Amino acid sequence: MKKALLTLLSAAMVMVAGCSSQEPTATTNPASGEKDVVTVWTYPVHNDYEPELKKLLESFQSKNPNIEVKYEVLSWAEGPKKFDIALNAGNPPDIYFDKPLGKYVDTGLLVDIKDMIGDKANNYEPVAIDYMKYEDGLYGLPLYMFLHVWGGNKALMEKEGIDYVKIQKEGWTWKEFKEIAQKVTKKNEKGEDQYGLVFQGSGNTSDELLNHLALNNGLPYRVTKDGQFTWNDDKILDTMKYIRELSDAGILPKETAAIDPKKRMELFYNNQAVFMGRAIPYFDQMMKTRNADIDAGKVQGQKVEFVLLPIPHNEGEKQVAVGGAEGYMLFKQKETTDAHLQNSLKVLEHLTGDEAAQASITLGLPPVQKKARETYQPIISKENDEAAKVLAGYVLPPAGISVETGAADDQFKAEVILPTVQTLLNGETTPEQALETFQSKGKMIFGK
Amino acid sequence: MDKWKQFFRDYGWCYLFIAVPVILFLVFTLYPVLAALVMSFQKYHVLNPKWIGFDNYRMMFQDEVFWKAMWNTFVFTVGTVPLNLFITLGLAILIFPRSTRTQTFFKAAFYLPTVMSGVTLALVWFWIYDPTESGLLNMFLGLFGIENVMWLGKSNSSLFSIMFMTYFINHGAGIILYLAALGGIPKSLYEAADIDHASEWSKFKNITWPLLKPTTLYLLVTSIILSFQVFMSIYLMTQGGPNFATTTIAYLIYEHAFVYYKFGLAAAESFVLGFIIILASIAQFKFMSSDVEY
Amino acid sequence: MAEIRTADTQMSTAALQKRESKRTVWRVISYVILSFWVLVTIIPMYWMVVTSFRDIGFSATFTPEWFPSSFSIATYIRFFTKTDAVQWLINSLFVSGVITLSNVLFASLAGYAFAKLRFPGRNMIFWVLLATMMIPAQATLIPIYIMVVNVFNLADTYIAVMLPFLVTVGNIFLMKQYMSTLPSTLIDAARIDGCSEFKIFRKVIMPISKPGVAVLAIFTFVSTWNEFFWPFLVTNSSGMRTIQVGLATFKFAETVDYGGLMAGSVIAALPMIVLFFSLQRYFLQGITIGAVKG
Repeated sequence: MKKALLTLLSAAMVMVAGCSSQEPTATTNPASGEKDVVTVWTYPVHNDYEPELKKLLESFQSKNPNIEVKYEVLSWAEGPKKFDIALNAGNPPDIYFDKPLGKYVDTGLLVDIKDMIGDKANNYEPVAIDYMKYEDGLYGLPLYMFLHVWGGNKALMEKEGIDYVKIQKEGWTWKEFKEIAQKVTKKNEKGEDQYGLVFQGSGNTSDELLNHLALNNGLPYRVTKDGQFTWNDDKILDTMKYIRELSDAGILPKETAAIDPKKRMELFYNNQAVFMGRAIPYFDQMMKTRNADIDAGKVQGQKVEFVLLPIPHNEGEKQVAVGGAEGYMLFKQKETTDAHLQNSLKVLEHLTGDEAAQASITLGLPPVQKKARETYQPIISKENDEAAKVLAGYVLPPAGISVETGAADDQFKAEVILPTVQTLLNGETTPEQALETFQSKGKMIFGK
Repeated sequence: MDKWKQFFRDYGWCYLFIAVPVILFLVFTLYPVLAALVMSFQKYHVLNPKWIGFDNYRMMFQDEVFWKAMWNTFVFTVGTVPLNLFITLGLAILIFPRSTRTQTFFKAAFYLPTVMSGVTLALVWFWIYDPTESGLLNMFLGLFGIENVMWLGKSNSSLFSIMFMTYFINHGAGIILYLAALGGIPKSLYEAADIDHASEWSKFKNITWPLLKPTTLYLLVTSIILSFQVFMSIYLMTQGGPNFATTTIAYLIYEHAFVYYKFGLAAAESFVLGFIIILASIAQFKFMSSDVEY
Repeated sequence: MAEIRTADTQMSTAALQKRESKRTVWRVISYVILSFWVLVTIIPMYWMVVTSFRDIGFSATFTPEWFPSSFSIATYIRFFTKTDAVQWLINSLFVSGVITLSNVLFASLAGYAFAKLRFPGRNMIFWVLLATMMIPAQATLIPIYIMVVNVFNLADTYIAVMLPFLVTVGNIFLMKQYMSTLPSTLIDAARIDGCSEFKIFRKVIMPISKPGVAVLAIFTFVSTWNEFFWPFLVTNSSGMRTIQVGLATFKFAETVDYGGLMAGSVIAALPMIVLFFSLQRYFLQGITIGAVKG
């Protein structure tokens, strides 16, 4: 046994030694002297982002031979935790991909770049820049603007005679949506349940359905700029009642409280859902790829075509689409020199600059870089692209709340909204009881 | 001086034997624990932490979610540890009389699934607990005309569903330990009992069980620690929902630390949890400890 | 003697038959229970293997199939050609190997000292060690990270990945429990023969502890091999990742390469399976070897 272990180990050691001996050639470059190393932590924002990033960094390096960029592509599930620990140990990477959250600002390590970048913010769409702001500071540059709306199954909608192009252009009210969805909620030809709407309702994204509908019921901000909590009146009650109605009518599966994003997608792929939320323009691409895989015999299943749709709004209220920006932020460590910060900023600007527009394009979104936007050639279907552009116009500007209020809102979401929505969806709470919870907890947390 | 010499002559080896673990322990375990203890009295901030005395502890005890999480953790522990120990021991006893080859097969079959990552396991259990009729468990219950159950979506079934999972995973290590211990019990003891026409039960009670005590104690203590600290299955399956029905202390600690950056509060909760586990462990040592030698 | 035996056989021809049939029934029942449990335990593993041969590309959903509907080794090819998988495997082998050896040596030494040697502070030191195991890891992550990354500046090195696991308290506890069942008479005899304490450990204790050491080795190897979070935390370059950290890179924003992920998981499981089968014969030897003299 000892032998077996030792053999394994020595084999591994030899290989480790062999591999590490190659490294010095890459790291020491006598010609350029000491290189400043800038670290970047990012995510696979779409499936082919890493090669794109590599290319970006190569072009950066050719222009800036004295800066070396080390990047790491983290996994979505675990990456944030790694960053949280590094940040709170005082040792964050120089550049990180995310939205500027209040808790990052609060650490004092997120760098306000407003005065550092001069007028370069003008190269971006103003709304996207607004989403990178917190209070008076600008905490990063946008890579893309995301758009969270609903979607539909093209073939099923055509079969049911639903004029989705009109809906894409003009939107639809809650009443219209319910009528249409009710009509298509039935057993399909295979005897399976066909649902009007599938939406994820489990785990820590279970609040999204309520959020989408509340926004479209005259509640643009849960907390307003002056710290006023708004989810405490009839408007939120009506929203919850509407969800209850959809559920009671069978439009939403009665199992919604246990449906995670994966299961929602599965129902949609299985032609068991006519409409779905939350949807993003990128689904157009994803489903195209999947259809090709089905044609190639790689994947078993039915082909599905995706149509981007607006979130229904209550009659008399404004239509709203959920959106925001994500991008790169600049962090400092406990001891950072100004020169290093300047170098890092160069990397940041490059990672979100005109050459980086491809990320938006792949995601099916018009680039946030003004220059790239002028020459934008969408790769998603024409009707989805048009819908995406229309819907992007319904994205609200950020609420502009303070760091402190933001923290309170985060707490309210995790401690009150998630558990309440979960019980609303599984039938353990009535909308009236839920409203009471919102009112009493809201008073406690926001003090108003 | 001579006293010291004498002391080293007598005990030098002992301390040498434990030296490396203790040094590593001091640096990589004790120091972080002490640092976390200090944190529990602070409003942690990476640049300027503030000393706030017992505020974190006060906040914790006033938080109703904390008490709910305590209760959930308690229910989870009571509902899994004894039963799982019983299952492990039962399976080991069923496997033990079989031929070497059969034993090896079962050991491998029970142990090897532990090499799978939690993410892979979660994928399959999600399918088992699928709330629609395509879920494995619902399909099975459907055969008896029972309606679909939202296993992970209801407050009254979600914690149980997580507990139920544990009954079928992670017995491998315990089975291996028990089989080794069972193999170590001298046959002569059973033969002597046979001469006295002892029943199977009395043989188990008087020979097997007492001689398995060191193994049982190890399994009990480690599984209680793991169950009080249960986090991964919650994180992967329910994220503490619905309505905190599966929020355990360890999950709450994670949320407070990484969602809110309330590292001080999280540390305070950790120490209260650690304290409870220590009490539970002392009790187990009291009841289960005995120097067993064959 | 002969008379008794005849009397015994005469008396129990019927009873013996009854006993025989009872035994058969028991055998059948025990196999039914074992098979059921094994089946449920092994299903996830079965699916892991089946799915690894299904090239479903980047997929948002994943429905396990009872029987594979397609067969492809493209997933494996992709796993090895598109990633640094070989490097990840080497890293994992190295890290897990060193940690296992270190635990075998130091946990055995310490476990032996805590079980069989008497010295001042023995129980107290053991309890302090054990108590820290009860503080959840979430609380101490930041201090450990500060220690390893900020203070020792070890980010992205093998040593950082290994340091916190070189000797774990759980393993010391396991070895203490195991060693406590070894016969003290053997040790006393060796001591009377004038053996030094280390020689006793090397020549007397280690040889009869093979089953315990084998168990310790496999448990340590598997848990280190499966460790995800710490290696993920302290490594940054792809070349330093362990296999589990590497596997996490198969998950993308809205889709996962399930086939590739499962292929990787199968590959990642292989070394552990090999190790299990090469060590498992030691599990069986039991402690009887040592106990013969006792």
